[in-house]
Amino acid sequence: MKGAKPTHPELLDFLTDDFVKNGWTMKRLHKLIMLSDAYRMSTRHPQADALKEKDPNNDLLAFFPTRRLSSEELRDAMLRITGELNPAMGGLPAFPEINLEVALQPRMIQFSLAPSYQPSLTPEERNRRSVYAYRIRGQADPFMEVFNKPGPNESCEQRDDAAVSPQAFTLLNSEMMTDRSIAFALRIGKEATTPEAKIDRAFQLAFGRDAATEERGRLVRYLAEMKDYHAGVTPKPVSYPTKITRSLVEEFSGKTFDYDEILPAFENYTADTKAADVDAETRALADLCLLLLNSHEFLYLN
Amino acid sequence: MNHPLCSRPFSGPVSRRQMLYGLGASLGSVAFTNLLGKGAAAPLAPKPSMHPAKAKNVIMLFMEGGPGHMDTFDPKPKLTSLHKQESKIAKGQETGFKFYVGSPFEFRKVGQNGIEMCDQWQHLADPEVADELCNYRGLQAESLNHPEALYHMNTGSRLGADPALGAWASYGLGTLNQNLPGYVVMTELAFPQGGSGNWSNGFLPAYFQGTRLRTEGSPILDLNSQPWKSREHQRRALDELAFLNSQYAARNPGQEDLAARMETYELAYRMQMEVPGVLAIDGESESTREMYGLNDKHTETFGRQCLLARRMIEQGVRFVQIFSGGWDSHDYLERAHSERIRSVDKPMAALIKDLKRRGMLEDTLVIWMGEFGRTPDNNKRGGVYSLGRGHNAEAMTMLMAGGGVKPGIVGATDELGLSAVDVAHPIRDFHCTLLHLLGLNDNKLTYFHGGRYKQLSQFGGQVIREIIA
Repeated sequence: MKGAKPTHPELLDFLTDDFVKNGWTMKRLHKLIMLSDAYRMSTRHPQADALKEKDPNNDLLAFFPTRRLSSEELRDAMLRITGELNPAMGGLPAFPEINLEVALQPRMIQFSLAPSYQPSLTPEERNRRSVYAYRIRGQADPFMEVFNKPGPNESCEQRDDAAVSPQAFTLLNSEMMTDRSIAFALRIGKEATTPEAKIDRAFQLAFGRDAATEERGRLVRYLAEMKDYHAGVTPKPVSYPTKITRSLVEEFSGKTFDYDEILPAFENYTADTKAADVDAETRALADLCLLLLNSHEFLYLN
Repeated sequence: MNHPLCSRPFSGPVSRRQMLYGLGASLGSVAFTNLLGKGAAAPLAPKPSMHPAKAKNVIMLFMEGGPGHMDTFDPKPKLTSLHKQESKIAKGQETGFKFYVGSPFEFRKVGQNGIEMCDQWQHLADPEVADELCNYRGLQAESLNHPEALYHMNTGSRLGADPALGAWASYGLGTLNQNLPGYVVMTELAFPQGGSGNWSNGFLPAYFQGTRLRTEGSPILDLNSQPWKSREHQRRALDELAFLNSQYAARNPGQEDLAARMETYELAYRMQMEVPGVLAIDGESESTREMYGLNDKHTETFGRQCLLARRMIEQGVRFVQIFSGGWDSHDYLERAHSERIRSVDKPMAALIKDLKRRGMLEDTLVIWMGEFGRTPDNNKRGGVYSLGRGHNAEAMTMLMAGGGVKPGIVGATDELGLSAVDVAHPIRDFHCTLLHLLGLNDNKLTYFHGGRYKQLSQFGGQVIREIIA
């Protein structure tokens, strides 16, 4: 065995004993751990500086280490905040909308191309918890992948959570995030009227608190500016292709040939609300919502 | 003293960097520049080689499907004399009645080093190019199946999911331009068999994964903002985000990672400018475009990729791989191979010439290869003699240029081209040689994963000295 000695050997003995005596149930073990004081400790410690001296590795668990949300938590939390989450349990797997370029990218399998990824037809079917998302071994959802969901080809003992720029590309620019920000804005628009109240409502949903005075003041100005900006631009409607032309080299003759793959899902597709479907005010509010979904405060668990 | 890459974990205080290196990682898309933590070395920062390097960069031209060695660079006149006579070779995937297939092409010697080529190669035969070439005929693969053979050649393991050559190179040497990926892959519209597993970071941290430049649409996924958001709009959003994050950081002292995370946004913003710059080939002269074959539809795709490869190496990318499919000629060999040769001949010759003229060839190793070679014989299909070849793991051919290789022919296959007989080496030895040319030692370039130190060759191999200048 490699690694350091346990920091809390008695605790491990206690948990082991409890686990064995109570029927070897993992659920009970998890519950016991998760309801403990140590597990529910705040990430902030009142004497952080002193702690750095006395227990730099936090072996004594005086605070809970901050961590970034996992890919599944991130997606589910966003859907929850925007009001889009379908919390249904069990049933058939869901096919969330994934980056369209990736979904339609030709994927070579022996002798031919695999069929394209087609999302479920309605938002309700698509926006189920990530645990119900169908997994294709050779085709990962790039959003989940960029936030370190491990590949299906080998076991993963611990996920990486390094901050890399592709995460910034995804969180700022992707269609998926744009859709979430618009849904978030539409919800806020229904639940609050003044700019100040909208900002507070967005903060409550994303961060569980009201905006501080300085934040509110600054973001009211940002909202107004963005409203002016969006009044001057017209987003193009988003369309989904109902067929795609594939090009392949014929194995025996070396000749290139084309064929059309039909994409029936997009013939009866209920798309998420897009930028072209909403007014400048909503788009401005969506900009603000997108910022909140990009912030440390949302992405990190305290 | 140990080289930093083979230091043993848990042997002293664990730095944040070691922590990162110790964690399994799997992350898609482009992933570079570790910005976590002040003072932590960036994993892609340039690192010293382990011994003096002959090559600093690699451009690998991968001919997916398996080109026939006897139809490209390894002539077999014996096969011509046996053409359509029954073959009793009990190897390969084909069964039943089999017959020998003579190459449909004529061969000639080119340049001063005795390099042989079939007559379909016109531009590569130019002595300025041919005299740079090393033709290695001794390499032997193991698998007769495309995906496994591709995985083996690209990752050292037939099973896939291990780190690719470019990932190991970036892990060992870092990269020179932190605003670009260290390992870039270009494919045709369809991926090679085995897909992105061919350029995976495997168990290495995500920074080392190959970044596939997309052939259509955005070159890197979500590189650009939504079309109705201007660059100024994005700048404004980033400023607001920085404000929100600074408020949070002030309330949560002691979380050093946060400033670094914000910096990934600034890097992303800079990359939006840098990446399109490298890809913008409109600034290249008409003579360069003509040289790479950009004005001809047969050579345009591969020519553009070769030109981009040169531009990226120039900008500090470490490892570039281009996949070109369609070499799996079980039938209609003459038509298919002449077509494929035509599509790569001119661009590849241009790439070598261009690198040479710019003084970059001595530092850049250019490799042309497939995942295996082809059989001397074939079987009938639909009752007729199909003039093509099966898969052959025991013999193949590869070309190398620049980067410390010795021009000329190395190794040999038997008179039928069935098996390598001279200077024959398994794939792992080719991998050790590739790392050696880059100044890396396969036995020292290790990564602790799954309870043991793993290396590209899996369990060690030997450097093929004969191909080194």
